[in-house]
Amino acid sequence: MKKICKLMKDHVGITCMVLAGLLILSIILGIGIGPVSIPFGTVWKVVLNRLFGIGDVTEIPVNTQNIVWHLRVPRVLLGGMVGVCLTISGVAMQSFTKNPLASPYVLGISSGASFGATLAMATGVLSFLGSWAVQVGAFGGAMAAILIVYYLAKSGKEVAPIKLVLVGTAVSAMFTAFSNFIVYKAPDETKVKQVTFWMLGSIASAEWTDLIPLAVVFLPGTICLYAFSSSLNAMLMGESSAVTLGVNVNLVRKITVFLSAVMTGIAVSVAGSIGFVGLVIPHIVRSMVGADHHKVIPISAFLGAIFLIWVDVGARMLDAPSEIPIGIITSMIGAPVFLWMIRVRKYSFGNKS
Amino acid sequence: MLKVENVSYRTKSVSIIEGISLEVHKGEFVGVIGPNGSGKSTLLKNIYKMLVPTSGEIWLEGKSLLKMSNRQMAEKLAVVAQESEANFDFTVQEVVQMGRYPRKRMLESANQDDRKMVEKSLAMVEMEEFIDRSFLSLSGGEKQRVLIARALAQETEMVILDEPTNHLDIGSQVKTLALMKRSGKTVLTALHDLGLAAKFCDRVYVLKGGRNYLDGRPGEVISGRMVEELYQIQAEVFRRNGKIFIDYE
Repeated sequence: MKKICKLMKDHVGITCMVLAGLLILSIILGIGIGPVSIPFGTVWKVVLNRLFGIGDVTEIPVNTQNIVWHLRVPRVLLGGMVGVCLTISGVAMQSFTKNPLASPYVLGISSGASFGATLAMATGVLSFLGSWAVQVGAFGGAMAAILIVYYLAKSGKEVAPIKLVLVGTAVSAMFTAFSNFIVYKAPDETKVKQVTFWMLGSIASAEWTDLIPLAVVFLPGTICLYAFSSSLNAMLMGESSAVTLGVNVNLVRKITVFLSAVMTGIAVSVAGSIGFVGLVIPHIVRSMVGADHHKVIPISAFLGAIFLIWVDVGARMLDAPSEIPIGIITSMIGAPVFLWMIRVRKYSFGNKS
Repeated sequence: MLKVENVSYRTKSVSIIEGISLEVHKGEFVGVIGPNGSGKSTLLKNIYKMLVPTSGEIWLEGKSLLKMSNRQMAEKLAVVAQESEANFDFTVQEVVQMGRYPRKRMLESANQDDRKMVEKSLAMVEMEEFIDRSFLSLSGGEKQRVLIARALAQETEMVILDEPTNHLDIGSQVKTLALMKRSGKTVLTALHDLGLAAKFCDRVYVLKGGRNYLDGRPGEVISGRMVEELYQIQAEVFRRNGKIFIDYE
């Protein structure tokens, strides 16, 4: 195990290529596995045919083709992209707060999104947006939360992480209370169940159109954060280190908050609040390759995508043909893994004293 | 090299330092001494941009330091300060590599020259054996030496030491200062120990109550009267063969 970690640490490029291979494999397998099992050869054929118009798919039943192309492919891709967004936001928030226990939701994004989604579902205020109503509500709520937190925590030109976390906690509690109030007052039981299900996080109803906002943010967000790896490293050593190593600390903090807010906000708006991914994956990666962002960011992005694709496979298989909300499974897996890391591997946030 | 002119730093209610001036010439080893609360650290933080002076001007190599970006400063001036305990684990190699950041463009990764400079800097602080060790697993003195290596890897003309030796044992303190002296860099350091100031500094500035109090060569400045006025204790200062010995009563 130690040797593998050392190899990963010394050869980030190769590690990423191996992970990219595993990701492609996970995507193919993830598309094939489900209540209706589809041979991988068929998956290949349908995907290649739809993407590039090559190959002959006439002997594959239309129904199978539809399952592959309209149900499984968007779902698997969505899972992967949500995984990247949550994991990278987790890394960003942990560096920003210098606290390895920070989650992407630490600034109230999750409760803001829940509030927006709940409002949209229970009252129908955004029903003119059709099928986008819940997503727009959730994203609006997430952005409202982060803006409120940011402006309340800001003093002068500076944004102090500790203040942001405190304000985030309070704003988060406020939004949760609002959501609960709406659910409590909702006249219609089915709507309440719909809200609850959404809050647990699910990607079961993924459609191609859901992928658009995610596809726009997940890669640019990750690359942009990666570009600031050196600055983020220096900031983890302390503010005076960062300043004297030439980092514009305030600018990097603002960019980090902004990127993480947009990535989390979009992920939450399409998939609900899926917990523990943004916390556990960066932790595992740091325990393997250390804290250097040049390594943590790319490896976390790949692992986050792979992890969520497989968790989603679990979500549709464990209780097939019905679905388990993916957020339940991430927490069921994430929490024990986290405990195992603390107890067995004696991992204490990288502090090996 | 560095010129501080009439710098004051005030918070809303209190004035911490008031009209301090000092000058450090190229190649000099200059100490700032004074009791706790005299403004040593505040002064240095105003110089290395952790604080912004309320008034006054600071020149680094003839250019206004206050108008420089952090990055422009980092190319000319390295700082070793006390850091709060971090929760994240870097290797010694990664920490020293950070000293190369000011020379890197965005997305530019470490090259052979950087790696050589990291090794050379670690060798200068006699820590080359520790290159793959976890920074957090090191003792206080070892961490200090790694941070000095980071400053050396920055390849700047000048280094500021903001009381980094305070919590170290006397052996580590002497070694640290000797190392900085040997490096031939221009050094500005805050110091508590008058004996060390006398041994290593070419000149010292004495602060009292946030103002300039005395300055000059240690032999001229450090005296029994000075110790009494600064620290309210009796002391006798002996001079022998150009060296200074202090005995506290």
